[in-house]
Amino acid sequence: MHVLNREIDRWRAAFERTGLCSRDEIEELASHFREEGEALVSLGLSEEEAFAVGRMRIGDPGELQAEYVAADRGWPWRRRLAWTGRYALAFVPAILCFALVAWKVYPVLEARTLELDDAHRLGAWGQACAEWFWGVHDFGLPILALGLVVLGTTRKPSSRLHDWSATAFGVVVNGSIAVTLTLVAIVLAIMVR
Amino acid sequence: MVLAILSRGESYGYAIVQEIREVSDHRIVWKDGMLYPLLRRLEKQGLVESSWRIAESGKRRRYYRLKEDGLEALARQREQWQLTNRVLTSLWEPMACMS
Repeated sequence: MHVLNREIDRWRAAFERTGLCSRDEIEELASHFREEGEALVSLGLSEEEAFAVGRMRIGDPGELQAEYVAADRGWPWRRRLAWTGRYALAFVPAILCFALVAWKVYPVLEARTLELDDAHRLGAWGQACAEWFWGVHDFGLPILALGLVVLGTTRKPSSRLHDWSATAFGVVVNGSIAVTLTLVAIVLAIMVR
Repeated sequence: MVLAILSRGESYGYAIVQEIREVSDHRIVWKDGMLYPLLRRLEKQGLVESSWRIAESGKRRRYYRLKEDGLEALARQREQWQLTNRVLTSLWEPMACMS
């Protein structure tokens, strides 16, 4: 059943990428597909033919999703909430670092940049960084929150975001960027003191 | 039909579809995938419950069982179907005699 299993795995992966049904539901359909395919092969069909007949019997992914939604109207919104939550989780390290900058580092930069003499000591790059932190502090976090709400309510959930490993990757990438920028801010603050 | 099949013991999607085909002598053939949203609806209504298990054959399957509420719903539907059957039979009998 090598060909049949390979084709079903491809069908399943393509179905998951559409984000139309949950992994649990697709796994159940794939399990059914395998049993159906094996039965058809035992009746004399080739593995390719069994796959084609089995796919037709399972039905169109779009129609299946409509039936699942009809069976549970709240499901699409619970799913959106879940993937938006995971998306937000990926920004937690960045939010923590920005909070640290806003709490401890930014007041030092702000106090110094207000004084012309110290502003010269910061230089053009230092001024630009201080402005950037000010922007993040006052506008960045509300914009991030608004962005998550817009993403959660308008964009079709991607199956990739159902994956916890994708969330973990987001946490690492966002966290690394945030930690680097925070370190830059701390160095700047030390230079200004 | 699904509740009636599950009243005879727990089962899984593929077996339920096959049983409906066999019992109906292949006159009722569902599009296989459509059974699963129905099972999800029955589960949401609290009539059935499900769990993933590894079968003796080594295959991973989601098994469905009828709950107490499911048995009661089945009993109610059975009464309704029997009543409908009696009414239609009595209405159609004279037509059968005329023919």
